[in-house]
Amino acid sequence: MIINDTAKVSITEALIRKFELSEEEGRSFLDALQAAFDGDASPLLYKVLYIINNAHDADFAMEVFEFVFKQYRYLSDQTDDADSHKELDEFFLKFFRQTFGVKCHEYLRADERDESAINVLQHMSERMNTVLSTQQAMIINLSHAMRTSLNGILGYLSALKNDSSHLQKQQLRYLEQTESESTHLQALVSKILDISKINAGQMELRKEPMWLEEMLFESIEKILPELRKKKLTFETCGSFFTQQYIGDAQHLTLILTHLLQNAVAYTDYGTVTLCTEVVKKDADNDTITFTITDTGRGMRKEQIKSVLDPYIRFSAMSDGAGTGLYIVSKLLRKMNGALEIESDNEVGTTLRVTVPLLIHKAQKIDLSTQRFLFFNDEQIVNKEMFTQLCSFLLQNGASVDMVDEESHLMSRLLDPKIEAPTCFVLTTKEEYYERYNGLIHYFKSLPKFSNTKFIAQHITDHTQVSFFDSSFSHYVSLSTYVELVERPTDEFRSDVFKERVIRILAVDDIATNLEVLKLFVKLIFPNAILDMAFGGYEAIGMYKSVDYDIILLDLKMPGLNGYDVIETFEKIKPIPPTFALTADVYKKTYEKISKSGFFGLLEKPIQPNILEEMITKALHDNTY
Amino acid sequence: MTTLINQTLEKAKDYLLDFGFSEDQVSGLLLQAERDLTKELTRAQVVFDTEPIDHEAVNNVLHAIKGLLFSLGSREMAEKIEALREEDAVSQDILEVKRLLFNQ
Repeated sequence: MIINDTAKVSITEALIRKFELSEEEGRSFLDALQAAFDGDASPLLYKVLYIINNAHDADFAMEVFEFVFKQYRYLSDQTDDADSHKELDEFFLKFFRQTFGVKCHEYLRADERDESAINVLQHMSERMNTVLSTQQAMIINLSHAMRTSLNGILGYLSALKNDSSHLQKQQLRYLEQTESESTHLQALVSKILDISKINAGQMELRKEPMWLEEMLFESIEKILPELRKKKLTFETCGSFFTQQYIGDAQHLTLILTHLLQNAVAYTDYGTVTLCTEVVKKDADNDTITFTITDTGRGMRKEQIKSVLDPYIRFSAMSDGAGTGLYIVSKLLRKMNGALEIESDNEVGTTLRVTVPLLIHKAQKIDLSTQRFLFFNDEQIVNKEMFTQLCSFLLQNGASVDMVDEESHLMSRLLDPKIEAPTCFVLTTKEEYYERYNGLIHYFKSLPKFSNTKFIAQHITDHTQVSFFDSSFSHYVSLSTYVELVERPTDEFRSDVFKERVIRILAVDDIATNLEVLKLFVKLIFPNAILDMAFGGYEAIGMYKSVDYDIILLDLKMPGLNGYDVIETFEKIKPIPPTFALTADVYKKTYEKISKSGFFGLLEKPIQPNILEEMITKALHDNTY
Repeated sequence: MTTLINQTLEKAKDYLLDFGFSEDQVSGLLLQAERDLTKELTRAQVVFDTEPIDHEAVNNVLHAIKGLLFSLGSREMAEKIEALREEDAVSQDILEVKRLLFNQ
């Protein structure tokens, strides 16, 4: 078939218009079309396929085919001759078949290629995930094993140190250095374990009722020794929360403690400030911001960028592995919270933690039968906080009285017309506490004060206040007031401790016994954290690094027995209530354990109700 | 040995399920219990087959087995072992202990 001149012009113009071709390119296409009618379809097919492939666009390919189809219709309309029609039909059929066929084949192959590429990538990703999770599991297992061994090493070192009379001075120094390095390594391993657990998604957040201001006090208490040592000023501002929330108190305390410790570590002069604020409120949640500001060394811009990376330290002078902020940021992300950092080099740093917390809709607190008397002859109480405390107590029905002179206090307490307070809180100069301790001893002998709880706050570690019912190195938290006075002693007991996170160390050389004990403890105290030691030395190592609320100690173990272990515990630090676990209950056992500093004896097989009663009593006695 | 282990594990399962623990919690614990029972009973076998009898070692291994049995709710068996253990160390009836533990 020969394309006539009119058709040639029309098709060339359409080509130029449609595909923005030059005249030469348009003519070249037409020549290829004519060549195809003359029997050589290759140039045309090549050109069409080339522009379709080049465009890499399915819509464009569609446009090309539509265009070709239109030209076919045009040529077909132009032709009267039946043979030419037939020839035209056959040609376009062949053309579409070949171009479509080639394209379809190509697309099919491309799909296959994509599919096989996806398969390879999936396979690689699965392999990578397997390797990663194996590595994570390996790190977790190794860290666990290292921590266990380190606990053992620390235990042996402790035992060696306690019996160090035969050591020379130099040897003793080496021993102390080894102990210090091992403690450091133990803390590092714990942090690695934390990071691994977070990365492996094994770090579960708890949901338990918690008092925020109690956590704040706990965190502040941990930095007080270092604050005093460095002679830094510590200031607080904002709310000390009178609301209970649902959240993970342990991890939130860890976050706040770490940020405060960081602020103190990197500040040599000046002030560390902690401000708290509820920034957003809705029916169920409060969003709370904790802002920690210091006048320390600060950071340069490039340091701020990498400060959340693991194992980053900006000063060789600072202790630690540089994992703290990384853990903090990961934990906050898990809590749907955020960490903001602002810092000026040599000026100071501001760390801002924002975290949403679910409001705990607990029953209303009734303090209507409570009479509080605060005595403070030392102006150290944070006024804003004290105002909030009084307002909280008054709102919940209590009566509040405050005295700041000793003579007024005496006449107030000894006046028979004035009812005794149900709660007396003393804040005085460090050297006066012991004098008041004797006075409290006298007051407690008077029937008038039989229902009064005497509390000393803001005392130092070495102050003797044995006659007070409770003493605190920091200010008494609101929640403590509520717990102290809200319920009668008997009623107070186990419910409070069931909700509280209590830390228990269980020691037994047989794993099954520990596992059964763990089941029972968790059944009674779901929030308890139970650490298990499989021998005396391991227990000593753990005891050195963690402050436990309760210890459950098997008496008969290979190596160090229970008596040896408690004796070593006592040399390390004051022991919490410690129960002897034994199935050998003879009269002599009772005598021996009571002489050895045990709080009590738990007979095997352990009965859950007895376990609950004993632990609750011990916790209660230890608190009040 | 196998008989005692199986009987103890069966009892332990019922004992722990009665406290309201889940099947998962109990089955995990039973695996550990099986390992510990096997370990302690093997230790007992070695101690009993050693001549001359080391009565302190016998006493220690019986103490461990008794503790395990108590923890796993086999009180009766634990008390039988305790009764044998309480006897004078020199006169401990090893044959009786073997019969009790290994059905021999």
